[in-house]
Amino acid sequence: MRAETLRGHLDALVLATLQAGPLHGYAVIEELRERSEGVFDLAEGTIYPVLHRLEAEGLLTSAWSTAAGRRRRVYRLTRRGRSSLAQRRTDWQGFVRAIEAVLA
Amino acid sequence: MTYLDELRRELSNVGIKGAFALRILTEVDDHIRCDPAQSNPAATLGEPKLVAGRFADELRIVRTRRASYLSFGALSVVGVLVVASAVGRGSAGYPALSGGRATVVALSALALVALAQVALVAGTLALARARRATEPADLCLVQRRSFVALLAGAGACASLAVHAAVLPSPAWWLVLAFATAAVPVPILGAALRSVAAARSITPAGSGAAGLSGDLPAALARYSGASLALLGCAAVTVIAVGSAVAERSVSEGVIRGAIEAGGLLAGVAGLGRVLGLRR
Repeated sequence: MRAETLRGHLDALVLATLQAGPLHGYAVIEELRERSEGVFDLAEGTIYPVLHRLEAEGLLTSAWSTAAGRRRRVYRLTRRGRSSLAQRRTDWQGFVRAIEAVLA
Repeated sequence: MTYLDELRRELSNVGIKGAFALRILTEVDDHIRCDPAQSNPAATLGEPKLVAGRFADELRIVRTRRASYLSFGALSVVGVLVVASAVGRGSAGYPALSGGRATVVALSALALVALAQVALVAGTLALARARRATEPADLCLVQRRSFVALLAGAGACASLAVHAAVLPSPAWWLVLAFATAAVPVPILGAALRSVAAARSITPAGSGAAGLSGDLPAALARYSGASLALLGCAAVTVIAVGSAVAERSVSEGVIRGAIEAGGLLAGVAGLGRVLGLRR
């Protein structure tokens, strides 16, 4: 899928991957790829800036952990992040219904 | 040169340095090690220049907004403390002064009032534009307004300290005044650092809208008139307030005239910097 098509929805997708629990950047990318069955195969370097911005906006929080002897930054949803995700999900469902109504 | 070396250089080129750059590099290093089969990180992560640019793009808006909120918060602390000091000093009464000491007391009081107003106006303008700013030119304007507001706030604190040092006052008020001057310093410093952090990742931009960019759409066409109206309102408040407080019409007129002169000087001196005029 074209990166421009995804860009407007990337925040919601990243928030959704973290809904089940904390993940580090690489795992977020893998989760996106797996859950979309390979459709969302983004340039991986685009995800990290989004994670940082979502954290700066207070939708995510992050902390260092150690894995295989190296430092790893793990991200988790904040309460605001959960509310934001719920709102984005509602908006998306309304948008899809409207598009389908027009295209059908 | 490794991918991480190139990324470090490119991050530095877009103004991301120090601990924040180190954090990004540590995360990207972990990412690369998670996928040891991948021999060309640039193919999966993207070219270092693009990745660094994306970081700056994603973060400059949120950092600028946060810096303006932090600046306004810091200035609110200054404002509350300065008002408390002024009210407290008023209740203690003023001794008769003459000569150089009287001049320093008058000038420091004038500087305090003027700088507090500059801080209030610049901080409010920064907040107003921060909500809408997305382009570098507007973000630079928000950062400039925040910077001016913080400098004026720091100047107001310094003026208060000079005023307290020269004006004979009760001991309790001296403690209050010097605490008012000193307590906000670390908060103002933190806000200044946040403005500098936002500035470091924002390219220079020009062509930001003037005051019209801060007003509601219905008023945007009348930005000059709105500015004049606000100025008149401030002068009226000062003149009437002074006349009532001092029970003297002439005192109200004098202070109103001083306020009007200060406002004109402020617009002339800082209008361009604060984006009030082109």
